[in-house]
Amino acid sequence: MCASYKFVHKTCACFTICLMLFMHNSVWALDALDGRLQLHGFIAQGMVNTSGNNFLGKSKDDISYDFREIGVNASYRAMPQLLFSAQLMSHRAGESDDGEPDLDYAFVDWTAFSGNWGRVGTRIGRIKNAYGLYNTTRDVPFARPGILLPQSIYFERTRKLSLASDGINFYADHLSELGTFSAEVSLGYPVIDKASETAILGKVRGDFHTDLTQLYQLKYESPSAEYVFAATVVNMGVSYDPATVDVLKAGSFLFDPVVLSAQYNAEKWSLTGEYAFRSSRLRGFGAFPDVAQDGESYYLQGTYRVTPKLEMLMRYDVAYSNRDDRNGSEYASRTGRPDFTQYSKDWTLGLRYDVTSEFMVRAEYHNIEGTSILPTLDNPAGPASYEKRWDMWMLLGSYRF
Amino acid sequence: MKIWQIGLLIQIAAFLLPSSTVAETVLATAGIENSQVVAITSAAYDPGDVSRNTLRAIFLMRYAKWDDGMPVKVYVFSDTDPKHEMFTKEILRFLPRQLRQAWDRQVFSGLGQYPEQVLSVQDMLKKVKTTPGSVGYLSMQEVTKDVRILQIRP
Repeated sequence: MCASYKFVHKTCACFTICLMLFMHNSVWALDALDGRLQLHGFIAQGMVNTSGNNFLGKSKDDISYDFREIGVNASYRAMPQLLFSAQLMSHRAGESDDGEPDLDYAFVDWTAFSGNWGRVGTRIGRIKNAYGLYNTTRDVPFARPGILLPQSIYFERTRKLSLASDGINFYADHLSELGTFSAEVSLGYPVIDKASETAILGKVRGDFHTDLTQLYQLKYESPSAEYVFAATVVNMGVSYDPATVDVLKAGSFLFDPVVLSAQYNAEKWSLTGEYAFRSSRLRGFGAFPDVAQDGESYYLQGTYRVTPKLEMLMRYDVAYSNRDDRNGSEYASRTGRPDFTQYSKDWTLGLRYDVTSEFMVRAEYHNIEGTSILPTLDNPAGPASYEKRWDMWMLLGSYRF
Repeated sequence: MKIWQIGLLIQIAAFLLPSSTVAETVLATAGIENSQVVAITSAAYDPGDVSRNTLRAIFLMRYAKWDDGMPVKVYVFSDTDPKHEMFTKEILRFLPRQLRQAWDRQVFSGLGQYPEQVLSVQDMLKKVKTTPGSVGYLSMQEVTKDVRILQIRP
């Protein structure tokens, strides 16, 4: 019924390459209708090598090339207050994501009121989730501070679930001498995939569907964007539809994170920190008692621009699956599984070089203790095969238009 | 000298001298240098003066129309053009890197579009002149009669 993903993937890649070859060499790519219609995109290829554990493909003691991102987007400004936008994305990330092209976002943005004071509007369609500072462009290689986003907050293994929701969003910006205050309220159904489903309960017989989810974000930017502060609150639910013969009942996974973000920007350097309190519950599954667990994550990141083309990154990123059991010892004695699967501590060092304004290369080194961030699908042998201390070397090249 | 005499002198100068020199003369009295970069708009449409906040919102592509509904079309030079850096830092009082990141984030999450990039001073003058309601920037000495300097409300 559907074309094999390899064919569609190759077609998507060919199309993007052809577009790039015929493009005039400028960042503005395709502009039509007086610039009201714009077409842009990017292609990125990464290489991963890990010392223990697989991340983004078979990277353990090997090099995985299963890390590829291709995106093409179009936007049309029909009127000053009406914008249509859509983006197709192909994200290949080891076993978690096969690279089949997906609709990343597609929505209508209507600015109902605007003036010197700011603006108020609404968006309808598939909209990126404004979670933390970086989620809306997490798959865009040059919009991220490193090759990977801090995994403690922007998990790779539940990536799909966090990306976008189908629904409606209301936004308001207020401009003043003190800075810009923004608020966003989103109501929608997050998009879910197999990798995210597996991350919830492992292999199950039935299916999951997402419930109506709310996302709230408040943001403050000082007038020169030196300071940025944000607070994000999400109420998300994923419900289980048991198979005809199933040991599990129709339970739910509820995830209610709160993310606090802060950033300071100077001319040559930036300091960013985010903290997430991740409250999650599994209830009504019948086969096991209801579980409530509060996870905690945070990272501190600094970037420094050595030259206009060369930027350095340093980051310390920590995730605890259960803030009441930070070293995982209680989990280990209860389940017999390794304690280090319950946390991750990651020291990252990275470099970014902008060869041209279109072409960027990045190198990154991660030194990690703990495996709570590992994508389970890349490591089918399970926790018994995991290594407590491991590191990652990564390279990435990206081209944009 | 009386005010009307200054005014008359300026009118005669405007008639006799090339327009750039007039601009220099007038603005020198207001303490603005030749090499300074200024925001410009089409002479065909007068949006009045703008606050720095509004000008920032315009270049951040978050201010899509003037109060009467006329669209705001934004023209910029490339990021590596010294005029771009000077305009962003001195007039917008914003970091050029932050401006670029804001554009990238908006475009790749569907929330906005890029401004149009012009290739030369002639290109900027022509595009701003023929697009009422548009906004761009040039250095003082490049400003001609076809475009109006967009004043920033103090």
